[in-house]
Amino acid sequence: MRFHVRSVAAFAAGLMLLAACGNTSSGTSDTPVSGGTLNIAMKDDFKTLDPAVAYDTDSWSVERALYNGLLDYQGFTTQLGPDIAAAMPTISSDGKTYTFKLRTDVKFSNGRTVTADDFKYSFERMLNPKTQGPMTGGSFWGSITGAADVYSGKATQISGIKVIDPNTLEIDLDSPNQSFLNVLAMPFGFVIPKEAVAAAGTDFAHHPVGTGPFTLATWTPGQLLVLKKNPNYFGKAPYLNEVDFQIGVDAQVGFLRMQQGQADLVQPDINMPSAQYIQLSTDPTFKSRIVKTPNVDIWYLGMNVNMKPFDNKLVRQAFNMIVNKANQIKVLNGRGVINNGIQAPPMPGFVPSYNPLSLDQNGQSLDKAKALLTQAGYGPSHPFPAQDLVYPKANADSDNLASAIQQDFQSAGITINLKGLSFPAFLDVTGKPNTTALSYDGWIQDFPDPSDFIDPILTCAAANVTANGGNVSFYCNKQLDTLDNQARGDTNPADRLKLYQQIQDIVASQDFPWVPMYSTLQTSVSATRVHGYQLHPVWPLVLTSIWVTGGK
Amino acid sequence: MTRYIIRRLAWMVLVLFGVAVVTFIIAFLVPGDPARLYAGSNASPASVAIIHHQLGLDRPVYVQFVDYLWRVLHLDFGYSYRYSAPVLPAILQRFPATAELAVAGVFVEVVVGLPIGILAATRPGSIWDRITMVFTFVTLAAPPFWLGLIFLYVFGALIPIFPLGGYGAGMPQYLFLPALTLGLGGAGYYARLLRAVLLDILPKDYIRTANAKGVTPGTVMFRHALPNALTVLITQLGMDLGYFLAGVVVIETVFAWPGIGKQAVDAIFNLDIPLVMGTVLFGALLIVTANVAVDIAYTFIDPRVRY
Repeated sequence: MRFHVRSVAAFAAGLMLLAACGNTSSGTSDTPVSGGTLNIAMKDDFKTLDPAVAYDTDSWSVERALYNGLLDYQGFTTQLGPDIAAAMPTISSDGKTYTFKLRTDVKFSNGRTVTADDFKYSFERMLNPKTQGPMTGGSFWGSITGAADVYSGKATQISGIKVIDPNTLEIDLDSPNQSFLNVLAMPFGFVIPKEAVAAAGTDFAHHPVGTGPFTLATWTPGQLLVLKKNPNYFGKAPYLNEVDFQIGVDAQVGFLRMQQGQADLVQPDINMPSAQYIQLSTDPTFKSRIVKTPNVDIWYLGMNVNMKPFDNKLVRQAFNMIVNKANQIKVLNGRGVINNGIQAPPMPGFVPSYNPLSLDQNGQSLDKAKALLTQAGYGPSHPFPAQDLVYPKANADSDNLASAIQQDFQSAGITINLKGLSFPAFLDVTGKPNTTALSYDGWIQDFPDPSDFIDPILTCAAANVTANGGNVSFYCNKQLDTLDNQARGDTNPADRLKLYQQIQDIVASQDFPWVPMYSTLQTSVSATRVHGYQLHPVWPLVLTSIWVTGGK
Repeated sequence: MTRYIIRRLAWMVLVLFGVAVVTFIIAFLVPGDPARLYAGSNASPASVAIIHHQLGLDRPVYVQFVDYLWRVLHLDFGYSYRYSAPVLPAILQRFPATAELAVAGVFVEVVVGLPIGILAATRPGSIWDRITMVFTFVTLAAPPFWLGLIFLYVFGALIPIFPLGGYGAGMPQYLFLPALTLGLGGAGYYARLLRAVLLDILPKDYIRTANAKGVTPGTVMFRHALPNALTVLITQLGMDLGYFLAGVVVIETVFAWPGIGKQAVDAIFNLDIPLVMGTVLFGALLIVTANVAVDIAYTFIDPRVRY
């Protein structure tokens, strides 16, 4: 997800980075104890607890505790495994039919047993335009046979989802999609009971019923959301009896509360603000309680290939050699790693030493950049035109990161004017064609698979839009699209990753629509009475591993 | 009097209509697509387009505006995009917390501001006058969000005698710091205003006469001088409601106070246009009503005033 979404993955090379960063659980090796209440300070109220609608990490933090899907990530890894499914699905030889056997012991918190019909209902509701969820229209789920008929209003049932018997679900795809299992594990794939939706009328968002380890006890908007342990939960019971989300607490105040013992976690779904990170890193009580792990994200400068001067590939290549990426990481207090490609560190396909332009340790090559600009026709007689760098004022670091870029280009003789915008305005101007030439962008995973870093942000389909596009460079390369389509259906994991590597080469060493800069580290901290707190590679918050000692 | 009230009520309707028009225009001029915010920043353009349609944002602007006015006339402020809930109940649910904070803020203004103003006015040029004026200067100049954070740090963390923000079902210990932050700036202003008005009143003949008759200083102040200063203060109090609504936006955010100010801030950041417009209209209604109430109050405070 873009910005404001925490995420991580731990796979292959990423495991090394993860180990180096020390994502050990906070607390001691005490034996877990059951009981107690975990207090979490959150800045914003929750948008919704309807899994068909929520597409933000605040809501997902709670949804993960209320619901389950067919599959889930095992432990604190990116390895998918069965959740409500009894086993991993059988997949037809053509890669288009998935058959799931369901566990028979899973109950909703209202006491009713989950069946395959519930999944069919949940998926069809999620894709129905009347639900007003973000997956209607084709995001991720569009490859299910008949899904388009539902979100176009031609049908109310998805022909490609079949209930074979109460415990067997079959899903047919139009074409093979190797990331489909990741899609199923997204919160949009959580199962909900039809009768609870009917009982809640139009307000299931505030009256959720699921299968998860917790149930919603109370939700007073703007004040408090309370979760209680679900006695019907089919998995290992959580240690905590209760989780209280204190809503509306600014991060600064939240960390003060934590230091005073009034909160146990502060906004765990987003990175710690720099000020608190610096302060707590030197605090004898809390410095050892800071947990870190790589985010599955990439931060880059997007150059609109249809707008001058970035319609010239030489210019785009030169820009790739000017940004001091090490400085960007310094601004983030070291919470990041230089990334010269388009894949994020802990993801399959990521090459840690990837450096196709032979950049120096700061990610620069200024002499080559100047030569390229000269080759592009810029010089003393024809100076490079000043450019606006559009960036979102997302947090306290935003201005500093943009200023550092400005200085880098100043040293190369290029004037950059900074144009910080609110997040909605930023999305607006970068999502429309021929509107923004240069922007400071980020992409954070929907799920830890290379396809999520290409389909929504680098394909021709993503460029061929009139508004709300994710391909901010409006970059389109048919060869890349062909490779992407091939990779999507390739059942051989090694071959598939080679295809994604070819795509990365096309972007980072041939066409240069971006200046890839860095990937970040997620950091969080917990109060001293909290044990077993870990950052998950995918989920914004996992409550089931946590236990508390002392307090109420 | 009746004609006056009717005239003012007619003005109220016009003012609210004007506010609705201006708010609506501003909401549509602000860059950004609410459907994109609603769907999530990663949602595909096709998904956003469907939600755009579902929210009715693809209709002509004038149709949306007429529809909005028609619904407002029926006390239907629409649905919040972010919370998928009706706007008016959402505002009314949070308004008691804001009202509680505002009343407490006024209490601080009066309890702190009036004695200081009287002290300064009765001893002009003295050390007390100077000290109080410095105090009012500081409280007026200090930004409420900064003052709030300082209070939280000092009295919530350093000397933890108050909770670090939150509502606590409106219990006094939770209310004290936000009310103090909200009221102190106003207290400084009231103290200065009262000092200026009293310095104008105290040399008047009727005050000199009262003093010459041997009336005690307290009686002179509270029976003769202060009532004549009240008209100015009450006028200010009516206008202060706008200041208070602006103040609570900041203070509710700092203190995690679950009122309409905090809700409005969240709505603005999330382009929740119905909730923003509903809150502005609701606030405008409060301000206009307060001003009418102040006008009517004049007739009771000053018998010479007639409409």
